[in-house]
Amino acid sequence: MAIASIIQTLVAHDVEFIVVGGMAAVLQGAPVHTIDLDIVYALSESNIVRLELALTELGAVFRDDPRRIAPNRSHLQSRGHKLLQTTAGPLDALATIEANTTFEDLLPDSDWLEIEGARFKVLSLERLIVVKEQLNRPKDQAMLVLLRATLDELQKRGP
Amino acid sequence: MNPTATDQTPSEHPRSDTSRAAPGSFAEGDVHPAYDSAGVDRSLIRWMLSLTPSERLRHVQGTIDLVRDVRRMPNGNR
Repeated sequence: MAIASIIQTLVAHDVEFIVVGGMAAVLQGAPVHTIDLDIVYALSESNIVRLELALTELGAVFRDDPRRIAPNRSHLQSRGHKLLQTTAGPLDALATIEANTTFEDLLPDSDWLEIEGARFKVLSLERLIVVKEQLNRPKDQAMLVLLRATLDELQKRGP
Repeated sequence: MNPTATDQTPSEHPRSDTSRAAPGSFAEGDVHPAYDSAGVDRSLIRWMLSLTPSERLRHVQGTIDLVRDVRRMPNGNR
Protein backbone atom coordinates (compact mmCIF):
# COMPACT_ATOMS: atom_id res chain seq x y z
CA MET A 1 0.00 0.00 0.00
CA ALA A 2 1.64 3.21 -1.22
CA ILE A 3 0.83 5.68 1.56
CA ALA A 4 1.52 3.05 4.19
CA SER A 5 4.89 2.33 2.63
CA ILE A 6 5.88 6.01 2.84
CA ILE A 7 4.96 6.02 6.52
CA GLN A 8 6.74 2.72 7.11
CA THR A 9 9.92 4.02 5.46
CA LEU A 10 9.90 7.20 7.57
CA VAL A 11 9.34 5.14 10.73
CA ALA A 12 12.04 2.63 9.75
CA HIS A 13 14.51 5.52 9.54
CA ASP A 14 13.38 6.88 12.94
CA VAL A 15 12.26 10.15 11.38
CA GLU A 16 10.45 12.39 13.84
CA PHE A 17 7.31 13.56 12.05
CA ILE A 18 3.62 14.24 12.53
CA VAL A 19 1.03 13.45 9.85
CA VAL A 20 -1.11 16.53 9.27
CA GLY A 21 -3.69 17.64 6.68
CA GLY A 22 -6.23 15.47 4.90
CA MET A 23 -4.52 12.15 5.62
CA ALA A 24 -4.49 12.90 9.36
CA ALA A 25 -8.22 13.56 9.07
CA VAL A 26 -8.85 10.30 7.17
CA LEU A 27 -6.82 8.24 9.63
CA GLN A 28 -8.99 9.58 12.45
CA GLY A 29 -12.24 8.80 10.66
CA ALA A 30 -13.16 11.95 8.73
CA PRO A 31 -14.59 11.10 5.27
CA VAL A 32 -12.43 13.55 3.32
CA HIS A 33 -10.79 13.03 -0.06
CA THR A 34 -7.05 13.38 -0.31
CA ILE A 35 -4.35 11.86 -2.44
CA ASP A 36 -1.17 12.98 -0.75
CA LEU A 37 0.54 12.65 2.59
CA ASP A 38 1.49 15.82 4.50
CA ILE A 39 4.00 15.63 7.30
CA VAL A 40 5.62 18.20 9.61
CA TYR A 41 9.12 17.08 10.54
CA ALA A 42 11.53 18.01 13.32
CA LEU A 43 14.22 20.44 12.21
CA SER A 44 17.00 19.01 14.39
CA GLU A 45 20.23 18.20 12.54
CA SER A 46 19.98 14.47 13.32
CA ASN A 47 16.37 14.28 12.12
CA ILE A 48 17.23 16.06 8.87
CA VAL A 49 19.89 13.41 8.24
CA ARG A 50 17.41 10.59 8.89
CA LEU A 51 14.74 12.26 6.75
CA GLU A 52 17.16 12.69 3.87
CA LEU A 53 18.02 8.98 4.00
CA ALA A 54 14.35 8.01 4.07
CA LEU A 55 13.56 10.30 1.14
CA THR A 56 16.47 8.86 -0.84
CA GLU A 57 15.09 5.36 -0.26
CA LEU A 58 11.68 6.59 -1.44
CA GLY A 59 13.22 8.13 -4.57
CA ALA A 60 11.81 11.55 -3.67
CA VAL A 61 12.17 14.45 -6.11
CA PHE A 62 10.53 17.87 -6.17
CA ARG A 63 7.16 17.65 -7.88
CA ASP A 64 6.55 19.70 -11.01
CA ASP A 65 10.26 20.30 -11.55
CA PRO A 66 11.44 18.68 -14.78
CA ARG A 67 15.01 18.61 -13.47
CA ARG A 68 13.95 15.88 -10.99
CA ILE A 69 15.93 17.41 -8.13
CA ALA A 70 16.19 15.29 -5.01
CA PRO A 71 15.77 17.20 -1.74
CA ASN A 72 19.12 17.58 0.04
CA ARG A 73 20.01 18.52 3.59
CA SER A 74 20.02 22.22 2.77
CA HIS A 75 16.52 22.04 1.25
CA LEU A 76 15.23 20.16 4.29
CA GLN A 77 16.70 22.71 6.70
CA SER A 78 14.76 25.51 5.01
CA ARG A 79 11.37 26.53 6.34
CA GLY A 80 9.56 26.27 3.01
CA HIS A 81 7.21 23.46 2.03
CA LYS A 82 8.85 20.64 0.11
CA LEU A 83 6.29 19.26 -2.34
CA LEU A 84 7.74 15.92 -3.35
CA GLN A 85 6.94 12.97 -5.58
CA THR A 86 8.15 9.61 -4.32
CA THR A 87 8.01 6.18 -5.92
CA ALA A 88 5.13 5.45 -3.51
CA GLY A 89 3.17 8.64 -4.18
CA PRO A 90 3.09 12.36 -3.38
CA LEU A 91 4.57 13.55 -0.09
CA ASP A 92 4.50 17.11 1.22
CA ALA A 93 7.32 17.51 3.73
CA LEU A 94 6.64 20.63 5.76
CA ALA A 95 9.15 22.24 8.11
CA THR A 96 6.43 24.44 9.59
CA ILE A 97 2.72 25.12 9.19
CA GLU A 98 0.56 28.13 10.03
CA ALA A 99 2.72 31.10 11.08
CA ASN A 100 5.94 29.21 11.79
CA THR A 101 4.43 26.41 13.92
CA THR A 102 7.03 23.66 14.27
CA PHE A 103 7.03 19.92 14.96
CA GLU A 104 7.78 20.61 18.63
CA ASP A 105 4.88 23.09 18.85
CA LEU A 106 2.47 20.46 17.46
CA LEU A 107 3.67 17.52 19.58
CA PRO A 108 1.31 18.19 22.53
CA ASP A 109 -1.62 18.13 20.09
CA SER A 110 -0.70 14.86 18.41
CA ASP A 111 -1.72 11.28 19.06
CA TRP A 112 -0.03 7.95 18.33
CA LEU A 113 -1.44 5.70 15.60
CA GLU A 114 -0.28 2.39 14.23
CA ILE A 115 -0.55 1.30 10.60
CA GLU A 116 0.80 -2.00 9.30
CA GLY A 117 3.14 -2.27 12.28
CA ALA A 118 4.46 1.29 12.02
CA ARG A 119 3.77 3.59 14.98
CA PHE A 120 3.70 7.32 14.29
CA LYS A 121 2.13 10.60 15.35
CA VAL A 122 -0.91 12.29 13.78
CA LEU A 123 -2.22 15.76 14.51
CA SER A 124 -5.39 15.57 16.62
CA LEU A 125 -8.75 16.39 15.05
CA GLU A 126 -9.16 19.29 17.50
CA ARG A 127 -5.87 20.85 16.36
CA LEU A 128 -6.59 20.13 12.69
CA ILE A 129 -9.78 22.13 13.10
CA VAL A 130 -7.81 25.07 14.56
CA VAL A 131 -5.39 24.90 11.61
CA LYS A 132 -8.20 24.85 9.05
CA GLU A 133 -10.08 27.68 10.78
CA GLN A 134 -7.12 29.94 10.04
CA LEU A 135 -7.19 29.15 6.32
CA ASN A 136 -9.74 30.71 4.02
CA ARG A 137 -9.26 28.52 1.00
CA PRO A 138 -12.50 26.86 -0.18
CA LYS A 139 -11.01 23.36 0.16
CA ASP A 140 -10.10 24.04 3.80
CA GLN A 141 -13.55 25.41 4.57
CA ALA A 142 -15.14 22.32 3.00
CA MET A 143 -12.93 20.02 5.07
CA LEU A 144 -13.67 22.03 8.21
CA VAL A 145 -17.35 21.07 8.08
CA LEU A 146 -16.44 17.38 7.90
CA LEU A 147 -13.83 17.66 10.66
CA ARG A 148 -16.29 19.31 13.04
CA ALA A 149 -18.94 16.69 12.31
CA THR A 150 -16.43 13.86 12.84
CA LEU A 151 -15.29 15.32 16.15
CA ASP A 152 -18.93 15.67 17.19
CA GLU A 153 -19.58 11.99 16.38
CA LEU A 154 -16.47 10.97 18.32
CA GLN A 155 -17.54 12.99 21.34
CA LYS A 156 -20.99 11.39 21.24
CA ARG A 157 -19.32 7.98 21.42
CA GLY A 158 -17.37 8.96 24.52
CA PRO A 159 -13.93 7.69 25.51
CA MET B 1 -49.37 0.39 1.49
CA ASN B 2 -47.99 3.09 3.74
CA PRO B 3 -45.19 1.99 6.04
CA THR B 4 -46.08 1.91 9.70
CA ALA B 5 -43.85 2.41 12.68
CA THR B 6 -43.48 -1.33 13.01
CA ASP B 7 -42.69 -2.28 9.45
CA GLN B 8 -40.23 0.49 8.56
CA THR B 9 -36.75 -0.62 7.74
CA PRO B 10 -33.77 1.64 8.55
CA SER B 11 -33.76 2.76 4.91
CA GLU B 12 -37.39 3.94 5.01
CA HIS B 13 -38.87 6.86 6.87
CA PRO B 14 -42.20 8.66 6.86
CA ARG B 15 -42.58 11.10 4.02
CA SER B 16 -44.34 14.42 4.12
CA ASP B 17 -45.45 14.48 0.50
CA THR B 18 -47.92 12.25 -1.25
CA SER B 19 -45.57 10.99 -3.95
CA ARG B 20 -43.95 7.69 -3.14
CA ALA B 21 -40.34 6.86 -3.79
CA ALA B 22 -39.08 3.32 -3.76
CA PRO B 23 -37.99 2.07 -0.34
CA GLY B 24 -34.50 3.32 0.37
CA SER B 25 -34.73 6.21 -2.10
CA PHE B 26 -35.68 9.82 -1.49
CA ALA B 27 -37.49 12.26 -3.69
CA GLU B 28 -35.97 15.61 -4.62
CA GLY B 29 -36.43 18.06 -1.78
CA ASP B 30 -36.41 15.42 0.93
CA VAL B 31 -33.74 15.61 3.57
CA HIS B 32 -32.33 12.22 4.37
CA PRO B 33 -32.16 11.72 8.13
CA ALA B 34 -28.49 10.73 7.82
CA TYR B 35 -27.60 14.30 6.78
CA ASP B 36 -27.09 17.02 9.36
CA SER B 37 -27.98 20.70 8.98
CA ALA B 38 -24.62 21.40 7.30
CA GLY B 39 -25.32 18.72 4.69
CA VAL B 40 -22.81 16.27 6.12
CA ASP B 41 -23.64 12.58 5.76
CA ARG B 42 -23.27 11.44 9.37
CA SER B 43 -23.79 7.79 8.39
CA LEU B 44 -20.59 7.98 6.33
CA ILE B 45 -18.71 9.37 9.33
CA ARG B 46 -20.09 6.65 11.59
CA TRP B 47 -19.00 4.06 9.05
CA MET B 48 -15.49 5.57 8.88
CA LEU B 49 -15.29 5.58 12.67
CA SER B 50 -16.21 1.88 12.74
CA LEU B 51 -13.02 1.10 10.79
CA THR B 52 -9.50 0.78 12.16
CA PRO B 53 -6.91 3.35 10.99
CA SER B 54 -5.41 0.66 8.72
CA GLU B 55 -8.81 -0.02 7.15
CA ARG B 56 -9.40 3.71 6.63
CA LEU B 57 -6.03 4.01 4.91
CA ARG B 58 -6.79 0.98 2.73
CA HIS B 59 -10.06 2.60 1.71
CA VAL B 60 -8.48 5.92 0.74
CA GLN B 61 -5.65 4.09 -1.03
CA GLY B 62 -8.24 2.21 -3.07
CA THR B 63 -9.75 5.51 -4.15
CA ILE B 64 -6.34 6.93 -5.04
CA ASP B 65 -5.49 3.82 -7.08
CA LEU B 66 -8.81 4.01 -8.91
CA VAL B 67 -8.29 7.67 -9.83
CA ARG B 68 -4.75 6.89 -11.00
CA ASP B 69 -5.95 3.97 -13.14
CA VAL B 70 -8.72 6.06 -14.72
CA ARG B 71 -6.25 8.85 -15.52
CA ARG B 72 -4.00 6.34 -17.27
CA MET B 73 -6.82 5.07 -19.49
CA PRO B 74 -6.92 6.22 -23.11
CA ASN B 75 -9.51 9.02 -23.40
CA GLY B 76 -11.95 6.83 -25.32
CA ASN B 77 -12.18 4.34 -22.45
CA ARG B 78 -13.06 6.89 -19.74
